[in-house]
Amino acid sequence: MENEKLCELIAQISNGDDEAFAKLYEELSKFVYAVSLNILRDSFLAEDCVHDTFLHIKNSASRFENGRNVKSWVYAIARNVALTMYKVQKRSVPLDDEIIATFSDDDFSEKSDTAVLIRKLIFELEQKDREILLMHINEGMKFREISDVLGIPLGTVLWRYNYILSKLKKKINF
Amino acid sequence: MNRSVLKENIKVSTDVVFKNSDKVFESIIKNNVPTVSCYNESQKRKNFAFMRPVAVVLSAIFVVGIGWTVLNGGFFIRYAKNDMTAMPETAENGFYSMTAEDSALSISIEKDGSTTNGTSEFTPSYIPEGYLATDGEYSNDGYLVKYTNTNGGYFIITTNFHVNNEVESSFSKIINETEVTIVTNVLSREEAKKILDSIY
Repeated sequence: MENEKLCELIAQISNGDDEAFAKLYEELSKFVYAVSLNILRDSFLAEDCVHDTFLHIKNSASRFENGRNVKSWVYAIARNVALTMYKVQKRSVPLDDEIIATFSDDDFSEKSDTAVLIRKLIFELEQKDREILLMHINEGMKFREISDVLGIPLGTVLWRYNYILSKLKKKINF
Repeated sequence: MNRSVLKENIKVSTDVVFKNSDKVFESIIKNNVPTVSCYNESQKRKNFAFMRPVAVVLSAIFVVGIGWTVLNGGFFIRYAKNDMTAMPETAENGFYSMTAEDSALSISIEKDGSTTNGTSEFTPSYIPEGYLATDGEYSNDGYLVKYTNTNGGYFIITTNFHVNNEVESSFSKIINETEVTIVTNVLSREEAKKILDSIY
């Protein structure tokens, strides 16, 4: 869906339009789930994160600046919610690193050996590197948008993206 | 594997399956409340966000207070430990006496033109070798304290905090009696320097 149409949906949601909210959810829920899963690495927590993200979208739709990139805005909300959740979980339950890092392969569509290997390598990356990679490749976000959402300089984003790809290529070809 | 193939593989490998999407949507519609683990914490942080600058200010005050106490309090603590009850006053006849009691623990300074407690008088020339001098403040090494009076002259007061084995017998005797009175003259800077130089 184009950004213009998404902006319209946000405007309608701010007027209390539940149908618009349902459409937005249909359009972006998988995207938000992917963002959440990337950070939380647990499908149950990721679902909670989706729940809270869309609740936040509903409550703050009136504050959305028309013309802004909706996906970047939603990404930023989802990311903040996921990071908060991660910190809270870590504080209340001493989480074993292994528990944090595991998720079911059922969470992903492709199960070939190559896919599993690539997924493993990607989730071994540092969180910010992983975010840069997935935001650009999976979500089609421009580097400038990624720089805005993550709060890191554009040059750093570009450099890191190229570095990560080279690193992955080496590991896969090895 | 070239870059474009790699990117394609990444996209395919990380394509997620959102199994319970419908359930989550239902939950959003039914429960207009965020999950406790998430928003309550962020709301708490927002509510208490004002405390951060307050905490910074209080910490700064605490650190400055501690620093002031150490700098100034240390001075007083030192004097309190040594029980210096009065600072030397302006010399009239040039004589001051200091009585040391219970070696290394207390010293009192009084303006007194005569000796007290039956201890000996010492003129500056009797200051023995091996004693240390400090300039203008009390020294924990003990031996000498040098003060300037308001007339600009120097006088030297000895203490008996530590006994130098080479101290003259008269001092040893006094120290063994745990009581010493040292009377000093007000010295000119040159005289004071001469005495101090002879000590080092």
